[in-house]
Amino acid sequence: MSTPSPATDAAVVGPAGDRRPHASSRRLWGWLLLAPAWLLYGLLWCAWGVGQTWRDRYPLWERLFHIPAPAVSVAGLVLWALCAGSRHRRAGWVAGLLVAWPLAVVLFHDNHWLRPSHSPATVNSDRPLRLLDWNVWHGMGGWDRVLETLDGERPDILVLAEYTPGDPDQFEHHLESLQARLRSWGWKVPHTLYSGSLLIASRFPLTHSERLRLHYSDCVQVDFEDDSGTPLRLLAFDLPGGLWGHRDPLLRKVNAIIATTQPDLVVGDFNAVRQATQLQSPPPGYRHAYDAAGSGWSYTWPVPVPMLAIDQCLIGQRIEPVDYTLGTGASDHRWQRLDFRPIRSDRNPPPRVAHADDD
Amino acid sequence: MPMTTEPASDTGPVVPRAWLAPAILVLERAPRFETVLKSALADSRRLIRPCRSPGDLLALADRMPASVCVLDWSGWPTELLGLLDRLQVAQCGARPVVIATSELAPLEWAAREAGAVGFFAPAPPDQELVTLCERLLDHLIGTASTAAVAPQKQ
Repeated sequence: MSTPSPATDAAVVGPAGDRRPHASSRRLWGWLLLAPAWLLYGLLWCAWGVGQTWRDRYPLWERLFHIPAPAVSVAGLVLWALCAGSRHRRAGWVAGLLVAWPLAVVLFHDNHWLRPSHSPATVNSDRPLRLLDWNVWHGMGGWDRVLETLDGERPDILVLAEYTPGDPDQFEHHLESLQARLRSWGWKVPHTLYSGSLLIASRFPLTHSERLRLHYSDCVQVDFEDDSGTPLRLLAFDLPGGLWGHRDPLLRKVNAIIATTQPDLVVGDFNAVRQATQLQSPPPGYRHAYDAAGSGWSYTWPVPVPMLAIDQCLIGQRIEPVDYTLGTGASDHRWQRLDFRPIRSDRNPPPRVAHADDD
Repeated sequence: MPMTTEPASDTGPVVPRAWLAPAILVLERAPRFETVLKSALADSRRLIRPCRSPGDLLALADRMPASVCVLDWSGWPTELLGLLDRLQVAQCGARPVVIATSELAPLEWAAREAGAVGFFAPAPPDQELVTLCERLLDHLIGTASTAAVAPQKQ
């Protein structure tokens, strides 16, 4: 063992020597703080990664598939900031690499930031029709505020999920006030329809309505005729809540219903993310309204920090999307608004019959 | 007036048959909606025909395809769903508007799934009923064409 030289002694007892033990203890404390954070983030990241790899093919992995990418991204960024703050450069690089995947999913896969340009499919210059779909959370955000939001949007077709205003008397009273509001928008006859927790209201007569059977779900098919007589078919869903159940079999049934009934518009609270396998490949001819005419943060739940896109709007080939917007109101879900024009088909013109007095 | 022929049957000869243009057919015990509609649509070319019984309405709906049928459920409480079914089976393009009492409101889906285009419980304001009937006929009554056409059988 060698004896310390005077120079080494100076380093130990001098100003530099004061800093080193201090710095190393700070690093130690830093690691003591960072280690649990790394452990937690490592577990979260692995679980999320497994979910992204196996997606919703199997029930167990589907639970992991529903871990929101924005949450994993934010957690990763916090860890990266902690590493950078405590001068753990190498750990910071690793955190940066780990967070890149969920961040890329949020920034480039789940959301797009430029509105898709589309060439109008028709020369129809009529005012576009407006559809608004919203899960109103049983009115827990306040019915008045719900009505205020609806007042601001004034849709032609309105679909409300979890519309359950109290006992039958309260419901009747509330429905009347809603209809009064619809009349104030210029609806000559508010056509309203209620099934389970779904309320459908339309400015246009409902030429056909049908409830379709789907376990633990509300599913309503409604046919309209717009002002020009163009027939429109809407399919509204309110699928069972809770993201812990295996949703793939249910979504297969939903796709089968869409393929069979061939609606023009499919909306509702699917309680299943847009990235689900069955929703990524909807029946031929259908696409997500967000992909067709939307942009920005596409997640719809839970407000105020929406991180999962579980409210869906699909459009068929006879719909020309003009604008798709998501907005926040008095609910834990964001509302979705689609402005669209029906593409009139010359093959199936509305029947025109002359009056007997014409001749 | 265009003429079509009934399909040949085993029991008799082929009978020529005339289709009439759509009208508003009103089925009610006492004239109420008929009066409302007639006074509101007096100046229009729309024809309003009262019906005495469900059978009467079925016969008229068959002769006047794509008619709007205003049905007062309280007048025929046990027969109305059957009537809606028969209208659907007849494929005459009838558009039934059912007017019910509040007690019958829970049966809205039964009526709608049997083909009701409109359902009101209780009765709507007169103007709304008139507007709806006008609206349902608007797409069917042309101003330029002069011929009535047969409904498209599906």
